[in-house]
Amino acid sequence: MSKQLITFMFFMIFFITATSYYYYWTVPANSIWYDQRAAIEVFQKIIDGKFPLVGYNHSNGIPSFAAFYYIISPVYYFLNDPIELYYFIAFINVLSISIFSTFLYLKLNLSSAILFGVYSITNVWGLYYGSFLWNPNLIPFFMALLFIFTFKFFDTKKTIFFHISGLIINLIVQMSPQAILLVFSFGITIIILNKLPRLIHLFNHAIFHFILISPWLIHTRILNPSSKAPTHSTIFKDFTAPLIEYTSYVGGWGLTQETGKFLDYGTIISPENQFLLPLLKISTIICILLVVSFSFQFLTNRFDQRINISWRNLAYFIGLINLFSLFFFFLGLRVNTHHFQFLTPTIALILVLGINFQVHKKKLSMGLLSFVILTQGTYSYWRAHSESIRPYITDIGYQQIFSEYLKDQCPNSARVRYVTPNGIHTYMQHGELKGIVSSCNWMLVQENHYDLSIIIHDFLNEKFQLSQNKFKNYLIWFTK
Amino acid sequence: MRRKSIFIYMIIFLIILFFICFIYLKENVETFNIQVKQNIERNLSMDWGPNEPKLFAEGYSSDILNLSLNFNKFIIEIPMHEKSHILNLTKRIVLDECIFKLNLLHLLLDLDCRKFTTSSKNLTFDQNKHIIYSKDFFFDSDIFQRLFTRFRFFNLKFYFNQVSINNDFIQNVNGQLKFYNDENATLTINDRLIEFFNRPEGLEIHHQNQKFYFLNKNFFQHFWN
Repeated sequence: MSKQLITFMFFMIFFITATSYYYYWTVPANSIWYDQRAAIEVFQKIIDGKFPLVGYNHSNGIPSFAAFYYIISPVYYFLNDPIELYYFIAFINVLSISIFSTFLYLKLNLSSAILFGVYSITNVWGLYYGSFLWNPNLIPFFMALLFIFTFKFFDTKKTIFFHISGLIINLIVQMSPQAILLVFSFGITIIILNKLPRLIHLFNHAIFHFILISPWLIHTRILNPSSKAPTHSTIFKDFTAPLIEYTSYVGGWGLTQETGKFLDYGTIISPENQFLLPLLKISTIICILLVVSFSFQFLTNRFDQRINISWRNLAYFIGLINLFSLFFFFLGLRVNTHHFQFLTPTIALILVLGINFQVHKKKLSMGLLSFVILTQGTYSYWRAHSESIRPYITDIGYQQIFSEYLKDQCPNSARVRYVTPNGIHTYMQHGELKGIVSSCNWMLVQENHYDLSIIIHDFLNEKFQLSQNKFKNYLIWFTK
Repeated sequence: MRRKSIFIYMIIFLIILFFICFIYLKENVETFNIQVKQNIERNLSMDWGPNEPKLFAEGYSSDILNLSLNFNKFIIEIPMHEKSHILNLTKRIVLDECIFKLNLLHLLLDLDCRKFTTSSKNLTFDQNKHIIYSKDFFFDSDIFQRLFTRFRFFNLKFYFNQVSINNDFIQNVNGQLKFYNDENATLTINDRLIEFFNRPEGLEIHHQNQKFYFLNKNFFQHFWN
């Protein structure tokens, strides 16, 4: 066994240990939202043999494409507890990083494989989106496969790899229609690089695509032509939002928020955020500078011409994907962080290939990238720790534990509400409402929320009394 | 080499396109001014939805070279929202004889009007605590977020020769609205500073060492019901 292989094996052990730690704490600390429940209903329909043509409606009223549901429903057949599906997504995320690291080890070199792996297991959003079930969260896995098959297409010139790459792009777009720009970047890449297959293959390819999206077309155009919920233009378009969301995705700073658009219960507010947020913002700037600089080199072919042509071609493709992300900005499309999931592992690959191809100032780039990895890694693993000590009682892995704790404390009847900076929420109740004694009429609050919110402080002290009991990081109050 | 050339040609093409646009713009100022006017007309006539403000304008024209719009009258009608929503504080804002100018050098939106007229409901506050809570209205943080996206890069500087609120008149009001991020903004009116903080709990306002609070809908209902 070669020394390099042993190093790689050790790295894989480290890699699996780190991600296991991360997901062991963060998967149970995820909420289960409308989208997850709706997706599970669609899985159930498929298992029952009803075979729906589309999934649940996106927030803009358009039905989601069917591919995701048909891919996951066989898994749902065996793992029908939602948290098991969450762990499955985490497993797929780890698997995709392992596959691509191994690919880089076999086809490029050991250092690139390790660098890619380390970046991926510290990347804030990449790790986060790998921790729960959602349509776009399988995209990084398919992106990894896309890069492998596109490389094979460039390397072997076999049309079968062109078809596979195209079909993977189709699946990705079905999971997040905003990823449509992959179609343009792929198309332009093969035209510019003179890799267009013969016309008959293109025709066949178009037919494959048509077949894959036909369920959606039949549903929306033939069976329910007016199924789209009515929407109207907004009075002002926010053209800058896509740029802000892009920087958030690249640098991870958006996850420091606890709530926001499409981010209920990100990271629970804590004093550490004041230190971590500026650090992540500095790291974002550095990461973007590196990505822009490498993308420019890839697109202008400014590197050593001795480098394998297939890698240079793949670099061109990923540079173009990153460049095309700016289209959202020019078109003023509504984009949120999760719509940029096709940038995992694109950004990681840009950084790895950029450093690998670099001849001058390699140490400087490596130093800057190490800073990015260190800051994103510090935040990600601190976050995992924070989630472990401060889970929500509504989180998927803690609902049952809390319910048992409640029944133990108040066996006859109880009513539970909780307060967050967003307001007061009714959570659970058992037994007769009339029979609830004051000490079992609970109002729960996270210690951090209580310490940092004057409003919560005023509200609780006026109407409630603090009990001696605690659940995890929750203070338990009862009515006066 | 080929890819490098394509990239360089693309950049050259964009630069030439920019110059052609610039020359074309200078040659066709009048046409563009009319087009901008038509664009305003179209936007004013559009239905933006039941919760969006209705905008009316009279006697407007544009000056594209000066990056400015002139209005004889501009009216913002705020639709009725659910009870206690902060947008029910006022129904109508009227701006008379205005010049609205975009200053790219200082990243400013400059609004200069002869008169600002509005009527507003009375506000009552609970003054028993160290924070002064509004008892009539709750705040929807979406308002702050949407204003922030509009003024993220441009501060709004304004001057009103006369301000009329509930028929009380004030002369020569000038000020500036500045958003620092989606949580913090300041409003300066005749050198008096008001700070706004968009919190999950509602809108926190700091003014002259006092803290005012418009709670969010949830807290508002639990505090006062």
